[in-house]
Amino acid sequence: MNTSPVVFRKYFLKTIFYIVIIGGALLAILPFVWMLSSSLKSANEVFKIPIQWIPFPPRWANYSEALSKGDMVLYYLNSIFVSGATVAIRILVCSLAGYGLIKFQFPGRGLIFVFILSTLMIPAEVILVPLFLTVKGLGWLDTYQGLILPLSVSAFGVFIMRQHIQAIPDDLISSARIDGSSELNIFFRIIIPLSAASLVALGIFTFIESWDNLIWPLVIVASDRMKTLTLGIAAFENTYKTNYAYVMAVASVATIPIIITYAIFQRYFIEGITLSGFK
Amino acid sequence: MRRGHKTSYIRKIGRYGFYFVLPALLFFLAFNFFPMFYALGVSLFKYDLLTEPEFVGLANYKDVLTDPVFWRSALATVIYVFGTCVSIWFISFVLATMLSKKCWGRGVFRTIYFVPVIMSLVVTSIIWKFMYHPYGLVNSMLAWIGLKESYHWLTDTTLAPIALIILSIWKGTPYYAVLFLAGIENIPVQYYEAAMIDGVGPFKKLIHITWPLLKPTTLFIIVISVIIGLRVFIPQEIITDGGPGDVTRVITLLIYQTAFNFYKMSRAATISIIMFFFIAGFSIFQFRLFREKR
Amino acid sequence: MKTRTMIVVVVLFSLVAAAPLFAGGKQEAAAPAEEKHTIVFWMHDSPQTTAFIKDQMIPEYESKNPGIQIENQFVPHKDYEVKLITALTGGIGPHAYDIGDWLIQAYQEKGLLDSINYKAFGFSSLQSLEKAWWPSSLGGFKMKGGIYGIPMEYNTFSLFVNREHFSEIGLDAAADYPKTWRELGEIGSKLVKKDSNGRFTREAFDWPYLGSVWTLLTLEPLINQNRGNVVNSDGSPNIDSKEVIDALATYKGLIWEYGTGDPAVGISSGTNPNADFNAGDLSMWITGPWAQPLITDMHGKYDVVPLPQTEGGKESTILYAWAWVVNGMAEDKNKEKAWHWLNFLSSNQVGFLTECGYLQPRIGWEDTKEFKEFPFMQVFYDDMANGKFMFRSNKWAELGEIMDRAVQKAVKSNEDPEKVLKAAQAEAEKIM
Repeated sequence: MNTSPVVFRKYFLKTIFYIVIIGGALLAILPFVWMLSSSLKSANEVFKIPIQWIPFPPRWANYSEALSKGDMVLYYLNSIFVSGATVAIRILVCSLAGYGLIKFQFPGRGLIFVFILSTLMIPAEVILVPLFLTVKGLGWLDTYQGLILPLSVSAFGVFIMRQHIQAIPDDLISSARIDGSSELNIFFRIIIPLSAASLVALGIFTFIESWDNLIWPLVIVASDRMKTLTLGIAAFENTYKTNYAYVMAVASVATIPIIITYAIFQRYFIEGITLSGFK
Repeated sequence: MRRGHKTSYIRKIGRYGFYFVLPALLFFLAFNFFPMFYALGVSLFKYDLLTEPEFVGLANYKDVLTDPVFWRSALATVIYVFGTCVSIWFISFVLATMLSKKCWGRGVFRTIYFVPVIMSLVVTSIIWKFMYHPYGLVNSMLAWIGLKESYHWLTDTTLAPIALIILSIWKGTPYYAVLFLAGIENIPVQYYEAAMIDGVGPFKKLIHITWPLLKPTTLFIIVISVIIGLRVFIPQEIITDGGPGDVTRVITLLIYQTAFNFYKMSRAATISIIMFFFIAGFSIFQFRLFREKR
Repeated sequence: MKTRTMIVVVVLFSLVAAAPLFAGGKQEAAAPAEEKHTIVFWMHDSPQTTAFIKDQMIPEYESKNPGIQIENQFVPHKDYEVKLITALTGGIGPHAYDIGDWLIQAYQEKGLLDSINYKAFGFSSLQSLEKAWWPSSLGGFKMKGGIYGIPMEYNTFSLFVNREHFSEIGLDAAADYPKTWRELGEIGSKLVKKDSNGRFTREAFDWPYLGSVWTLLTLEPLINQNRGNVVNSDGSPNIDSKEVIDALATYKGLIWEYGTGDPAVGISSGTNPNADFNAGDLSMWITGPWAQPLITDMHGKYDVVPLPQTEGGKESTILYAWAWVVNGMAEDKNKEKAWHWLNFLSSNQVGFLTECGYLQPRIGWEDTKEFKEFPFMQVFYDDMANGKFMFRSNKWAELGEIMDRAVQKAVKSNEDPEKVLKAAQAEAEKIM
């Protein structure tokens, strides 16, 4: 048997490699697993040691009981609507803008692009107060439009779409013009289909960001029926801190659909993130 | 085509470009630009939502910049950003390197590692809040490896910031690892092949090939991670509410509380503007750096 | 363009942009669209009260007053004031809501409160209305010639003790209860139970960590017992005075010197503050009469005893009340209807006592069986007699928060009381 130092070292490194990478993966997924596990226990079992990872018997009742308190379903629907609308608006407006900025010439084009990019430096938290006051002045407090519109457009989105539309050959566009297509037609029939991949990625990215937003709904929403899921979960935790298991059940309900969607559409998720990385 | 005809045609088409950009432009003007100036304007007054605003010029700025509460909040923010970002830079780089290697189950690993990123930060914060309970998961696992003390992660003034930093590292690392990964995978294979032929070892490869070619990605990651770090709000709001005391009261939380717990809109606006200048300054500094390196 | 010119342009533009601040003038509350008369009513979320009002009071009122609809919302404690102020100033605030007595001054000065409409209550004058309430109970709500709130619960804080735990160490809770804070610590250290890992399986005593109100409700008695105060008579803060420092030292001493509990442990929340006591995980707990219907698992197993005192100090306890109030910015017809609704609410003293444990200081039910049989009524009464409301200030929210943060540092992280209170005093002086 050849156990030369080089071979030995290679196997040693490989083992370390696997230990680290598996260990890290376990850490990555640990909180998620703990959440699921705790959601099926009764409140005082959650902190028992030694930790029982698979509760026996699993307390499925936690889910029905926790969900019956408050209007989780309503909040869920609100979140879907708000996030969905945000995605729709963002995809449309950003791709329009990106297209306009890259495939057309008009005076001030460069300036407008720089201006749009500069808004990246204005995080929502900084304009929180005046945005609140503005929305209040418009009478949009506690409304869907107040929840959706102020955050619907993103400079990132414009930048990304511009970048990707750039790659579409000009000839396609000009020949469509020669054929007598209207500009809007060209946009919807040619540009959109050809940038489908980046649109989906942008859409997913936007959806996650919107779904998880807490600070804006916290400020804008006053009545119960306008709450989004993030507000609902936060309020639920505040009220039912007593029962860790209930809270984990609610958290699971909020998280599992996202995880499932992720598992199916992985490629687009990761692409959406990577997209934002290209300068 | 005659020259004049061509240019007026282009101009005519060009108009559409402007129309297409218009919706986005209007949005930005209305919901970014205008509020920014509104904030600046409000910061020059004394306004607490119900009383008549009163012009005070730069008094708010003087007030805020000499207020220890503000500086403690700035410190809490800096500690958080520094602790989180520096750790993330290193850990995500290592993670990316590992995930770039062809190994058994690579696809599975990549899928699993990305889970923290897609989990809602609100849910994550709640889960970690329970995990940090003195009798919770974190202490139980520490006990398992021999550290039996019941650490007070969320009620100790030293541990609380650390607890939140760890949570953020857990959540953010895979995201940046993916960015690093994209950068690594963009490095032409030929470089590595040439190195292999020359008999260069793995660590030398890392230093002389990977690292230099990764510089733009790295720079990008550094800038983005800091800006995102400065904007952190959710964990501090949900888990510690700035506490214990005010050691985790980061700037965003201070702005929020000043505006909505104490209704001091103008003071909150002032802090926001100061924060904006800081972020803008930092971004510009980074962009300059980036351009020079090129 | 020269930098200076640019700055001038930016500033001018900002001033112009801020013009909308003046456009609206004083906000006029725009009540939500109403075909039927809708009264918007907000309250803190508290399971028993929420259920009682939602399932009994509202349906009863609506059936007696067709044409009126009560749109209710029960808001979690943590966000309550934030949402309330945001909504009130945005013109979408409720017509009637509840607040604590300590905020009356601040709210009234901002025009958020309406003085009581005694006609809607069926009285011919303010004086005759006053006579219909327990003497001096409306005192905390009188300002500038008006009465701005109707107490829905009139409270003190007393000490609840777990009788069974006491008998375990050979004590009779009704007789051997701690009379002073020192005794509380001594008895407490004997009541604590820990498992083999050093984890608390039973705390003897712990303070509430549920926000500035609870902190001050439990800390101020100690300050008053030391003959100190949080603010001076002119309203200036007195936070780093010796009396307050000593009070905080005693306060945290129970945790750190006697080891009666652990701030990080425990499951109480703003909505269910008595959870630990109810579960039998906490031997002694300071809370109010309203806790009694909530601690259903402890029925028959506990005693209520007077609030501990400080040796050599003045006898003193706390008084506080939650009150129903009407939005001062609402339209007149809504205000009137809101007061009418509040009159109805405050006329069901018995219901509120049995369902929620609220003592409503409105005369007329002292002969009822429920009143006479309310557990430990005498103890609460006696404590109320020595009671003092929390400090008054129109900056209560901020001062309270400053103090709460100082207390957190001392009690949760074992920091030195003098140090944290001196820092708090500096902060407080700055905001005055």
